[in-house]
Amino acid sequence: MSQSPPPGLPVLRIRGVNHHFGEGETKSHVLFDNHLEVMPGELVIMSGPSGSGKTTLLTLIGGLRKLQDGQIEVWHPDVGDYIKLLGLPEEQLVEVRKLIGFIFQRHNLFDSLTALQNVRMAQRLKSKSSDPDAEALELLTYLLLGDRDLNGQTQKPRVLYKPAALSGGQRQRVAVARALINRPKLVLADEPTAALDANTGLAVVALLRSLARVRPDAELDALVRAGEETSDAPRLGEWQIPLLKKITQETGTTSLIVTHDARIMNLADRIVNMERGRIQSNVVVAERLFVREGLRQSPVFAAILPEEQQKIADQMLVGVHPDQTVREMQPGRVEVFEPGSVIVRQGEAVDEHSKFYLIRRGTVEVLREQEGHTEKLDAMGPGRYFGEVALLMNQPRNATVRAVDRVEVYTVDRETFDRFRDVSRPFIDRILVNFQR
Amino acid sequence: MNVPWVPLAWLNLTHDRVRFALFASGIAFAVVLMSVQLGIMNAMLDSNTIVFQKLNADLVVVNPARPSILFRHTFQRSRLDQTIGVPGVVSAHAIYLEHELGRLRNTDPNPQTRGRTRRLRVIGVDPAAHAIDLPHLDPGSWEKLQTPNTALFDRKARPSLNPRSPGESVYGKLEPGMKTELSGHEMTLVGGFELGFDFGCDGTIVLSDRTFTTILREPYTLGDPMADIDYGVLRLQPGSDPNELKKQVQQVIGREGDVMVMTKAEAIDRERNFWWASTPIGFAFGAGVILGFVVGMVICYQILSSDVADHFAQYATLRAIGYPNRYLSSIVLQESVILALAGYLPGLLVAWGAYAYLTKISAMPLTLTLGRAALVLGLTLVMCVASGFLALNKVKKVDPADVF
Repeated sequence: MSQSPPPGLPVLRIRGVNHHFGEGETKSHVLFDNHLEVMPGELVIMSGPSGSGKTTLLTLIGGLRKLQDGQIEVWHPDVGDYIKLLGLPEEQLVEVRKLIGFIFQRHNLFDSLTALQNVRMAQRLKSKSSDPDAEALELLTYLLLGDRDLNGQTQKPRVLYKPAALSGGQRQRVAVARALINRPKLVLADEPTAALDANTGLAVVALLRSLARVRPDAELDALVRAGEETSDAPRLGEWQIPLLKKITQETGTTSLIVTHDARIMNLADRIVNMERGRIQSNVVVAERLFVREGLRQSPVFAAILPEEQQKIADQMLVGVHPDQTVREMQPGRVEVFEPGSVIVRQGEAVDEHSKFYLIRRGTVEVLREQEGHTEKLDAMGPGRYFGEVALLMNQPRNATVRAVDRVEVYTVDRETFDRFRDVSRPFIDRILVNFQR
Repeated sequence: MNVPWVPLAWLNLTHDRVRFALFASGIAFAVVLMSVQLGIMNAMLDSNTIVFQKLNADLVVVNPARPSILFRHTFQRSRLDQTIGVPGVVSAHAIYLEHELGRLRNTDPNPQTRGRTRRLRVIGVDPAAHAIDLPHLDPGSWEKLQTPNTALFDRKARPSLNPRSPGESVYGKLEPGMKTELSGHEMTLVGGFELGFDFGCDGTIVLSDRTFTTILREPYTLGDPMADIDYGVLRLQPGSDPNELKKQVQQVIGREGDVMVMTKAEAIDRERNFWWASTPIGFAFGAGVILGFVVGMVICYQILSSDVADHFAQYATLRAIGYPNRYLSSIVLQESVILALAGYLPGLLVAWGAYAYLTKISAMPLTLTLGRAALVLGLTLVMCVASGFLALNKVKKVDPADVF
């Protein structure tokens, strides 16, 4: 049995998903041709205005609605394969739901049950547990519903309280515990921190991040120290850290969070923005930083405003973490070259199809042929760029760039390049002078 | 380790205790309605079969043309005598009955306490045979009944509604040693018993078979006045199988089709079925029971459907996190069973009180037997579970997508 999909494969795959409500004259389309892949252990923030289709997409992923068109595939860790949701009968949709931890904005706890019993309702879906009550108590205690407050002082435990005796934030934390108690590999959350104060909101996000992948001690310690540096900064209690580590021994949880909470936006691994039923942008934060940093190194793009850099970067992104390979060529964004293949050839004239390249993965060597022999000028790895000189000077390529191993390169087409070249003209002219000299 | 069970149905219902008490009282109301209707119906059926219940018999012989005790279809005594020859039959005795000709005139000299002349049921038996167990019979009464023109009277005859004669029956004041008049013949009352009244008669008087035939058969019959009898009661050897001997006796005397042999239980059932099916008792009180059942169903359905509506979001959440629809259905059905039991117990207690009160004011024997209590429990469970099944339609509307 495989807990996670094979390396490089997503845990969730959405392809061409359309959805409508109503029939006939009342038919209203709410989702249009949506594509998305989410990798294991990612924390995905879904943002967008109200009515943009975020929640509908979330309900389709969770198997809460029948998929009408397109395909959604969810990795089933016990089966070791993807489950395709289109046309899946209700009984099997129920099984899919068991794989997922749902956190609802309207926590929907049973008034008649205590906090512990509400969590137990989710635990009962799992056949066995080594010590179910201890597991539930640990999680509830970490979420500050046990016998210790943030500072480690003794407080009255809330685990045997019914929802009517709990505050909105406490109820929300019980709902979080209910969603995470079975350690689901996929969490779908709708505004999970909306009702929470800064400290408990941080506790929930830290929990989701630690369930995603092992966090270094320094990162966790920083969460405790944050409060010492500025009094109003959210923090975790020191005693929460060992408990957090104990709770999150098993990692690989992927979270999709619909939120408008700016406090957690910067913690996301991927930000998906939806508008009018379409995924408008799907940004892996690390990839965006990687591309922006790469562009910033190039004199062509270094002089333009950061917002403009961001626009170019967003045109190049493929939604895959730079640590991971892209599985298919995406012309205009990423091109893949096998070892030994030539990316640009010396003497090749530039035209409207010529490009600027930023190395994403792999190594290239820069070769110049001079008087019958080939000289290796340089070897370049991820984050380095090439191909700008010929475009700037409108001259044939002055060197050959060849892939040493499998190489992935981001590309900027000639039209985009020239547009920004005009913006950066004075700066570029100075560079060209130096270059020609 | 298994995750501890969460009794969700019970907790959902009892979370608000006042609300739960109201729920239970709604069901209890239906239980009381059904119990009282059943009680009255059974009291009537019981009182109309009391003579059969008190027969000291294993088998009963009757003319098959006689649908009920009230009708006069007799058979020849000689047929009864034939049964003595059947191995296993220990004794055979005749029962004489008269509903039309028996008229009791109270001869009390005090006109204030003298009752009106009224018809009553007259039973004639051999006093030495003990063919009928008369409840609360005064000691020595059977022996005294050997004397001609003596009678045993029913102390539980229909009570008089006359406020000036409290505690007396409609026949006026009757007590042992008193002389009265039965169908124009002077009788001496030599003992009392407690049998009760029913739809067919207001009271019963028991005579010896000799006195009975002298007064009520000789004037109207040619030939032997004792030749035609109403019922025959057979007693069998201890340990013998009544059903087996019934067949044997039937083979001996039933070939001509003029007599039919039944066990005592069959005789009681036959009489009961007559009153249930051929009179309005079954319809009137059966309809009452159905009405109680329907009222209970409506109440239970309202409770369950409102409970589902109140927990719609939570049920949707359960479905969203992976509980199948059948789990939600089982919760509703569990709630229906809990409601049935919670309403049944107080309802039965109230019904028990109502039985005692109705028995006191009407003198009808409303008795709550274990079997009848079980019947009401069964009806209550069916009523609530049926409502539960109706409420499942609401559960089916729970949409897990509603949670977001």
